[in-house]
Amino acid sequence: MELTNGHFLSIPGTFIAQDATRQLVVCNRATEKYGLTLTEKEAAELVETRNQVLSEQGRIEFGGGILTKLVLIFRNSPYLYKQNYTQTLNELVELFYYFKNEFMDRISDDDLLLCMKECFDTRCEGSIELMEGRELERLARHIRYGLDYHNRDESYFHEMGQNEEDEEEDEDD
Amino acid sequence: MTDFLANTSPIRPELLDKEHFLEEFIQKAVQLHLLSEHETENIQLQFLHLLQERIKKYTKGESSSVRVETAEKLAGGIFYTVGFYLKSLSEPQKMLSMLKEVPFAELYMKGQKYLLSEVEAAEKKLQTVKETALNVDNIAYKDTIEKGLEPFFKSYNFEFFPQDADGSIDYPLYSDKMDSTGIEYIGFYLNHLLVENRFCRKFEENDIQTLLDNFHDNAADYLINIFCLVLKNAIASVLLKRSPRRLEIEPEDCKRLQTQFLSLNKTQIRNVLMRSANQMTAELGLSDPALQRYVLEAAEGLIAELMNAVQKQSLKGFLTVTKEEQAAPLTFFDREPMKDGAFRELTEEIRSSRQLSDKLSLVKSDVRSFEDLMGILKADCFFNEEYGALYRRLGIWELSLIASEMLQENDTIPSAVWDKEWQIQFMRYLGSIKNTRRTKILTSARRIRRQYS
Repeated sequence: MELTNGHFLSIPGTFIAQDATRQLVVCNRATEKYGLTLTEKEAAELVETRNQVLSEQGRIEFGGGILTKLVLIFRNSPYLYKQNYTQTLNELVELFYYFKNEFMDRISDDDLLLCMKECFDTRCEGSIELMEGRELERLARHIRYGLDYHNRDESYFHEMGQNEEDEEEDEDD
Repeated sequence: MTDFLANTSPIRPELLDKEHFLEEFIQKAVQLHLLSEHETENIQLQFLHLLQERIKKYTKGESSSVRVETAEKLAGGIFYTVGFYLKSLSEPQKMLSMLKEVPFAELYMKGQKYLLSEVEAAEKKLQTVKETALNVDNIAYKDTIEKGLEPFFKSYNFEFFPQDADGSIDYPLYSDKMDSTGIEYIGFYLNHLLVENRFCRKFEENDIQTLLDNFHDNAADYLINIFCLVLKNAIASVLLKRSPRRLEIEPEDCKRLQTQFLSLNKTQIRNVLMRSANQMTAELGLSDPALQRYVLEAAEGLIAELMNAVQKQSLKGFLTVTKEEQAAPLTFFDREPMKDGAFRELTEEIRSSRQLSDKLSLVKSDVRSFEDLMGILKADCFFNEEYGALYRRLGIWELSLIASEMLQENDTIPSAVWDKEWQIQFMRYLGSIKNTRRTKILTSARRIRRQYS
C-alpha cells in the first residue's frame, strides 16, 4: 500500500513539519551557549530540507526525527560558528539521509551521527566535501563488504585510510 | 423496517479484495458515509501512531527513518493483520462497529493473536495433509506436500510482514484464484488440499496411478490436479452405469457417452452431470458436508468444459482414457477341464493330504486347466493361509484370471466385501504384494476374455 501521493492513509506532511520546527527552536536553549541558534524561519527551512532530502532519498520519517539529535551532537564542534551554522546543518542533513541509504540501514542513527561528528571535527577539519567524498564513502564501501564498524576506535579510520592508500599504490606499481 | 435497515449493510466483504481488505473496507465505508470524516481521521491518526511504533520496533529504536518501501510493507502488515481479524467477524456491521469503537492498536493486537492461532492450526493441518497424501508418482504433488510448505512455517514473519508467504507451492489445486496472501493463502491451500486428498482416498491408489499413467507418459513431471482427473472419470463411470470407483474409461466408453450427450441440450447436459455427481457422492459415502460441497462445486465447474468437449466431439480430451494398447482385450484359451470323476478324486486327495507341500505339488502336477484351478479353489481343498501359499506359487496370468473371475461378481474388486474363503484370502494376498504387481494383475483382469480351445 502507498503511504504517499494522496493515498487515504498518507502521512499528513504539514502536521509533522510544525512539530519538528517547534522542537528545533526549543533546542536553542542547549546550543546558544556555543553561540549557535536557529530562528523559526531557519528551523522551518531545515525541516523543509529534511523533507526534501527524505523524498529524494526515498525515505520516510516520523516526528522530528534526527534533526534535534543532529543539532545537539554538533553543537560543540570547533568548526561550527554563527556564520556557517544554518548552511552546515542543512548540508549535514543531506549527508545523513544519503548515507543511511548507502550504509543500507546497517548503521543506527546515533552511530552515523557520531561517525559524522568524529570525521567533521578531526580528519575532515570541518570540510563537508571531504567528509562526503572520502571518509563516509570509504566507510560505506566497507560496510557493504560486511565490515563491522562497531568495534572501531581512534585508529580505525586511519587504518582504513592507510589500507586504501596502500591498495592505490599497489595498483600504480 | 428501521431495524432491518440497521442490520443490513451495503458493504459486501466477500466482494472486497482479499489482499487489501481493510483499505477497501474503509474506503467503501467512507464512500457510503458509514464512516464520518471525524471517525476516518481518528482511524488515520491511530494507524500512523501504530506505524510509528512498528517502525521503531522494526529498527529496534535505532533509526527514526526507513526506506519508503519498508514503511509501506510495515503499513501493509498492519493493515493485513487488522483486516485478517475483521474478516473473522464475518458480519460487516460488526466490522464497522469494531473500527469505530475499538482502538486501532487493540484491533492490531487481536489480529496478531488471531494470526498466530491460524498459523498453529495450519501447521497441524499440514501434518494431516501429509498423513492423507496419496502415494502416487507426481513430483509437484509430492514435493509441495513434503518440502514445499514447510519453509512458510520456518520463515513466516507474522510480526512485521504477515502478508508474505515463503514456500515452494507448485502443485495446483482444482480451483485456486490465488487472491489471498500470507497465512490466509496457506490456510486456504491446506484446507483445499486436504479435501481433495480425502476425496481421492476413496479410490484405490493403484487406480489413480494408472489414471496418471494414462494421462501422460510423463505425468510425474506435469503440473496437473489429480483430484480433477479422478473426479471426471468417476462421474463418467456413473454416467456409464458403473461404480464411480472404477476409474478406467476406454475409447469405446467415450463413444457411448458422446452418443448419450449428443441428443441433449445444454441444460440437460448440466442436469445429467450434476445428477451423476450427486449419485457419485452417495455411492462413495461422502458424508462430510464440506467434502460434499467441494466435490459438487467442482463438478459444477466442469460443465462448460464438458459442453465444449461434447460439441467438438473430444470427450477423449475431457476424460483420461485408457491407452489404446492397454485397452485391447486379452483372449485366453482354456484347456479342456478334467472329467468329473477324475476331478472328484483329485479334490479328495488334496483334502486328505496333511502337508501343505503335498497339496501344492498335486495342484502343480495334476491341474491343467483354469476351470479346474477355480474348481479346486471353490472345493474347500485349502484352508486359511494355505490359499496364500497357493497364490504365491501362481504366475501373473493365473492370478489375473482369478481376479477376472471375481470381476464377474463385482467390478469394484479391491474394495468390495467378499464372503468366500478363497476370495478373502485372494484379497489378502493382493494387499501383501507390491503396487506394480497388483496393478498389473488388476489391469490385465479387466481385459481378459476367456474362450475354450
